[in-house]
Amino acid sequence: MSATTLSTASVQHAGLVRPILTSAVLGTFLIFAAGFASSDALHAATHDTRHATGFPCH
Amino acid sequence: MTRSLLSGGVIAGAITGLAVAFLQFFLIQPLIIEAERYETGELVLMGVAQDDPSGSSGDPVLPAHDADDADEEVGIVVRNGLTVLTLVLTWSGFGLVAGAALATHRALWGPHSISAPALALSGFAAFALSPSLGLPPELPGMLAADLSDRQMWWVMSAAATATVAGLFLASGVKSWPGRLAGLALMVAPHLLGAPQPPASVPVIPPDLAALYSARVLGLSLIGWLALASLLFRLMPEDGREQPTAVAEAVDTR
Repeated sequence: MSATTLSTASVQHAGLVRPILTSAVLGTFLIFAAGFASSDALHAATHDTRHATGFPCH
Repeated sequence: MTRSLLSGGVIAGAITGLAVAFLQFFLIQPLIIEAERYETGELVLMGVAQDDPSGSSGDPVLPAHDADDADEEVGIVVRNGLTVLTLVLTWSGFGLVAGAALATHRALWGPHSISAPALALSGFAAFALSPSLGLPPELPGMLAADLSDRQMWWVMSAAATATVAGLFLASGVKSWPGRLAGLALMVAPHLLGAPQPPASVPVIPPDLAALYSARVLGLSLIGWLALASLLFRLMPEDGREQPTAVAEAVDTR
């Protein structure tokens, strides 16, 4: 019973790795693009958001 | 599963971003506009407090340029539109990261291993409170140290606090050496010290900067509480993600 349970749990958890990593990487990318990217256009677009969210801006 | 986790984080983040944007235009944007008047030299710190009828929290008074009024209005609409869009993107990013953290907790330590308030306070501590202890929210015109140095310190502080908050909430970290190690990791960036600007005469009124800092942190806390509540609604504890009609609608393509 325990082996079956463990095996099922492992499979379920293994299936979670990819979506969790995808979500974390995509989220981090969005945060960095909005908060840290140095391109002039992005800086201009995100200026007030960076100030209002506490990101270093200028 | 991939799409359901992603859509849960994005939907929760986008709704939070819209709510934060709405509040931002009342609480924060007027202060940014006023600070820019000091930054450009339109207002000067000394003697301005008595002469400026708008006060630190009043509506911004834009300079009058008859010929440029239309262009100016278009510029303001574009600027505010971009602010709404980028706030939605930023909070969607927070939603995706927080959703990943929530799913990890449940997978490794059980479905009830973390509560919505705990997730909210962890996010607030990592992405707002901890960085602001060394780098307070800055208004336009405030002097600051080198940008890349500040960005690096900001990331270090946020990452350390997020890691420690996640570990402590997950297992309670029972051993004292573990607790001390976590505390050391979280405090390390602060002991190292955030990059500070050289001493100089302030350009922005201190009361304006203080009000701004308080409002940025307050709005961030409101945002994180809203984001965590939405995530828990879109990702219920029984493991069946996306039970809501709106989430399913987004998920079905």
